[in-house]
Amino acid sequence: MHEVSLMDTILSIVKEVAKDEKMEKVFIINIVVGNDLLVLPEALDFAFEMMKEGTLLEEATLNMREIRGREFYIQDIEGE
Amino acid sequence: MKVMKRVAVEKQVLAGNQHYANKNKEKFSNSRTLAMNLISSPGAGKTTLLEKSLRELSNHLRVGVIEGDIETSLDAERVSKYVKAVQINTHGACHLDARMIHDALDSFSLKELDLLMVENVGNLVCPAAFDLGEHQTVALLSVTEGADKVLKYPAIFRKADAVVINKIDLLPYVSFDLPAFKRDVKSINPGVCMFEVSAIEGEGVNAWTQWLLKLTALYKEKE
Repeated sequence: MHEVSLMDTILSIVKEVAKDEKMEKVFIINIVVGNDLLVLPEALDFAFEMMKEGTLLEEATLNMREIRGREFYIQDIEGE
Repeated sequence: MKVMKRVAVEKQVLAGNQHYANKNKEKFSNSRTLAMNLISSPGAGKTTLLEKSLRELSNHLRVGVIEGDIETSLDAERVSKYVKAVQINTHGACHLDARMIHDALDSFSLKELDLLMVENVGNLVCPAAFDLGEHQTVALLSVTEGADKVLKYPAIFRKADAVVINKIDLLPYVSFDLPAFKRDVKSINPGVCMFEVSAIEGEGVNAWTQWLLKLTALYKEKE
């Protein structure tokens, strides 16, 4: 539905956390997506690949875990 | 030496919307206004149902309407014959979000409203994901769209507190399987209230308005 704007929110949250944790690079982002929100994993992934370029997330992989319901959150990130 | 580490984030992606939804809910609670979010695809008859209902409801309740559309104020103009209506134009966005409602609420004196009806942008998909802070979510489907829409677009029918099936005057002319429709709705949302109406002819509208009157009265008692 609005994967680009959702990804924009995800990336700003991740960048903020990475900054607080003094990370220079983020390698893994784990998110949880509820199936009732009709978020398309493929479209979210496409937005991610497009928007991560030139940022500290450039080398990062996005892992999505689908669950039932309406939850949609960033679980954790890995970086250095 | 750089150290690899894992950090828990635990942040909701839709937290921004939820923040405003909670603020709206608080406003409704303070003014004892029951808020309803009406969702359907374009052309299912949301505005016509509102017009028909408001004719009756405005005799008993103080009602306000927020109209959501991508462009134009045509719907607000139709509805404002009966009650105060505010139009939101989303300029491309396919749904209303809680922030838009929060801003539109400034145009009302909520203390003077018993019931606020929000007509969402015509779309059976996206509005289902955005909580506006409403108490009741109503999904509307017209018989010309086909009974299979319940299983094809389950999110909205699962979330809904009530489902209205509109244009029943056209049942003889379309191949809409009403029993299958009801069975499918009940299978994904067993406790839901269902109404069969023809907003244009008026059939069944009374049961729907009586339900709204009862809900509003119950809400007043409870708050």
